[in-house]
Amino acid sequence: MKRFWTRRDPIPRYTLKPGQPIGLPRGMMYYHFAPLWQAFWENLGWPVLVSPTTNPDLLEAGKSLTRSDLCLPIKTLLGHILWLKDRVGALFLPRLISIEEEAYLCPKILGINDMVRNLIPDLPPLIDPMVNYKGPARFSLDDSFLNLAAGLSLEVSRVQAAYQEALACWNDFQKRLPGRRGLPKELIPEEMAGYLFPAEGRECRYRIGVIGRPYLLFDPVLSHHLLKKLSSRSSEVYCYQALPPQELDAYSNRLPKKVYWSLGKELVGASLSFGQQPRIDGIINVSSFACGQDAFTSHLIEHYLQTDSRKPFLSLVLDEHSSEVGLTTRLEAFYDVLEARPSAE
Amino acid sequence: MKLTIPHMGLLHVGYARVLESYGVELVVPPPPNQEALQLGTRYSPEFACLPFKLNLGNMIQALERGATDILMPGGFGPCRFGYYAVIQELILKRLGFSFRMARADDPDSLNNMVTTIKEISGIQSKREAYRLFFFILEKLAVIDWAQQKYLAIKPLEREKGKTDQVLKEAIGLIDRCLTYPRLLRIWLKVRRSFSGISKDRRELLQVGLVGEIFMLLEPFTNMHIEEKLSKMGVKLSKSVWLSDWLNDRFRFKPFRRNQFQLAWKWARPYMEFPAGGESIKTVGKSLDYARKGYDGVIQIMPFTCMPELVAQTALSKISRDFNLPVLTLIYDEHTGPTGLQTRLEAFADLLYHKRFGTLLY
Repeated sequence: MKRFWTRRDPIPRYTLKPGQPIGLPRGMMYYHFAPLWQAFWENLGWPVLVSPTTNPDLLEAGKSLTRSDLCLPIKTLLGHILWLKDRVGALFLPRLISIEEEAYLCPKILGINDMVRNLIPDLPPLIDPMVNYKGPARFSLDDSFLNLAAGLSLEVSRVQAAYQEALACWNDFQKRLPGRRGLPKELIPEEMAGYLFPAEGRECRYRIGVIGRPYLLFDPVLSHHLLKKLSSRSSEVYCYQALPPQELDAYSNRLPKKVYWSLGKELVGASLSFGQQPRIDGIINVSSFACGQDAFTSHLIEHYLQTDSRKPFLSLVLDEHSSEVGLTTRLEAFYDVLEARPSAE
Repeated sequence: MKLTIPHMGLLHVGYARVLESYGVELVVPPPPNQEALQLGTRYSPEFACLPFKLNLGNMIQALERGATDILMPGGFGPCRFGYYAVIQELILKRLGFSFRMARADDPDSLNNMVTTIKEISGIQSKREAYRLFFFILEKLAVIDWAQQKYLAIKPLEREKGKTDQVLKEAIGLIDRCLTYPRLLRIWLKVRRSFSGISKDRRELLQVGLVGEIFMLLEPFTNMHIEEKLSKMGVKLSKSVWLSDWLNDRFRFKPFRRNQFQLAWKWARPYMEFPAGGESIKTVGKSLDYARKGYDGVIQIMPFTCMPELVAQTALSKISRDFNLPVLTLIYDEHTGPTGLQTRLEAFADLLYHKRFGTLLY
């Protein structure tokens, strides 16, 4: 007999009308999985509605849901869900416990589905297959999608075909990232793509490695347009996915103990790698106020960069009260340091 | 080798004399105090949790008193606790201390714990190490039992301070105890002492204490909230006990069910999968308290504790569904005791009024 904690509740039946859009909130793991999710639903014949880029109203709606000290990206995701809930037939928010062996995601991501159910009334059906490589019951990425067949009352073969095609799309997307300096062009707003991928021939004086979580960096409001400010100073921005996963793993395995959060591990690996690359002129570490993981991973990054690398390093903590002027001042100071450096490292 | 283990509640009462009797040289850090917290805060990352900062402060104090080895348990998430030892070691080594950090990285594995005991005590026989380990666990079980009696009796005591005195004596006796027969005799004696306290007969407010394990077990970090509330005539039930946490893994309390699994079973409608730490116990036990008709629940957590933040949202829904008053107290190094006292008094006042119709104060 399977023990109760390895059983999931009976697979819920979702009654979805064909043609009604599926809602995809633009936040948190959207920036990692969106091509997969979007292609999957479109292959099955349901249009996908992605919430708009974060705007101050959305942020306010998310913030006013709860008085707790949740970090701002999570509150933003709640705001996106609030925007979507009356405009779609169902919401798609997989329950991501762990997306690789030996690492979890942030505990708040583990709990986001519960938070959504507990905080937001009158939700449309919430489709949340579980992805969990750590157990006690293991649900791989493949399992999570195939389990949807029963809930959607579709044949497994049809779901399998849709999933395989979407998986191929997603793998292509991930392979393109290193060539694009780690910037997910398909997922960021057009305006942002405009200044991050400047026209040929534009001058680039500095190459800055920006270590930060994608749901913070590629959200213009949450990041206070940081990437725009950097681009406007003729800098090319490199994010952590500019490096292939093997290289990230090689660097993060040098730590005395492997970081057991997926994103945190990759950020630490990326910063150590950037620290050794001669092409990168400086490194900026961006995190949210009260981010639990970053309290520790930022410390690791600062410690190892101080001992192993001589590159200019700036650490930023952003919240909704950060002043634009303050941020600009710190960036100007950082650029002063960059300029004062001799060009040969 | 001079070994030190950072404080957590009455943990040192369980292991200190026992390990010393086997020849281990221990440096027990001074009891947690403001100095430890300030030391820890000065050198910790700003958003590290309060338990981390206090642990670091304890470690610095112990190292300054000559400790050469630190034993620190670890883990693999999802909460940050599993990574404490690594960051603490980096900070301490950079401060110039030289020591060896022994990470007990798999606190779920009996084999791992017994091997650690063998290493630090120099015991050759594995059987003897098992015996030692289980004796420490039994001592911790008796300590928790004594604390439970304290919480049940103190609000009713006629002679102010008598229950504190009995508990202090009990802890002293348990501390010095080194054999099973003596432990049994102590337990019987303390039972008689607790029965001997003259108690009022009146109805009390029933409040559940839930939240993060370190904050619940270490009175300095929660600013002696149990004492404060018991003085106000509130009967407390704690959802997390160290011996329960250990029992879930090592099964030394034969009649006690696995509390983690029990809480998960209860918490299903509000939290499908544990978010780490003791969040599932927070949600599960609060539901249990709600169904049992408790007057209120107080959740205690350090600032930035990720699992407890998830549990807090579940608690807000439980509060609405069951009409159960819930007070969440978030502590960090800037929390002041006066503000806390005010909030507790206000909460107790409202609960009293809700139940008995009159005000407490």
